[in-house]
Amino acid sequence: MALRTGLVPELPLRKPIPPADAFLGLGKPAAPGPRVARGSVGRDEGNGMQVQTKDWGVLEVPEERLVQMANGPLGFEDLHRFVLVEQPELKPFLWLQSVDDPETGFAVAEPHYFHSGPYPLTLSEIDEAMLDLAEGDEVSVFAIVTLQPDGEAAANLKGPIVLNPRNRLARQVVVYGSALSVRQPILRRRPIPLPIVVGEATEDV
Amino acid sequence: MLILTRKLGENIRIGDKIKIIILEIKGGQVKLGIEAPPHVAVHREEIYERIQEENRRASGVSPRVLREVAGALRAAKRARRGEGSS
Repeated sequence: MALRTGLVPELPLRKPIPPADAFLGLGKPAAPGPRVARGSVGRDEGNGMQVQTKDWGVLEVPEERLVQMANGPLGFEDLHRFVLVEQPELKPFLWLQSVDDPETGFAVAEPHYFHSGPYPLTLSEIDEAMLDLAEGDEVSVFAIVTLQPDGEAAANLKGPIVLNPRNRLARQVVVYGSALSVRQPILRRRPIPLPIVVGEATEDV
Repeated sequence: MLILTRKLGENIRIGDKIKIIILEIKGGQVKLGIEAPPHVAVHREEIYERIQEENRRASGVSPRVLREVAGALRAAKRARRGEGSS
């Protein structure tokens, strides 16, 4: 939808946003190890950068696919460059990987997976300025998901990440609405007990 | 920091469009009314702290756990679809 200046009334998030891949440019992470992800995205011999991540091996990130955050997520304000990783087996999640800190990444998902009805996104003047919102821009919204090894799974519907796909600027915002929780459970019951790996050095990808 | 002393019913103006009204003073609590345009963000400080804490908790999820929960969510969705069609 077109954004007017000021309040953004009830963004219809049922409407499909562009497939993540369309603006992520990352179909899949490169296999770890000696095989470099050359050509996994294609057409990017010049300005690509390789990001060595803890969990996803080497990611080949074309510079124009970076997600820029002038202020990183709250508590991570020093992290400014991210990339969204999409994998079929992660659906409905995407992985928001910090490029500045390979150890840091967040599972995110569109809020409509966990929130029925229109999601009442509100953007302040500062939010709009930081996203450089212009007439006609459509934003993408992602809730950060917390997953604990004991099976707790929750989505932060109160403080979503808002991305302007046009310029790839993103920002964590605070949304009004007492019904929106910072820690909204996303599974009706506890899932099968998850294996807890203590002190693992690496994860098989 | 600018420090202003106000009595009950007195106001503070910030710029042309923001007004803060002292509505009630009781015990150790002050009730404030805030008039501001909708595009000015007004939140309790704690909400930022809670989001910050939640971000910390969320960072560094293991891919293994992520895959498990993603699979559980997809299975739940399939199950709901199955119920709907029967």
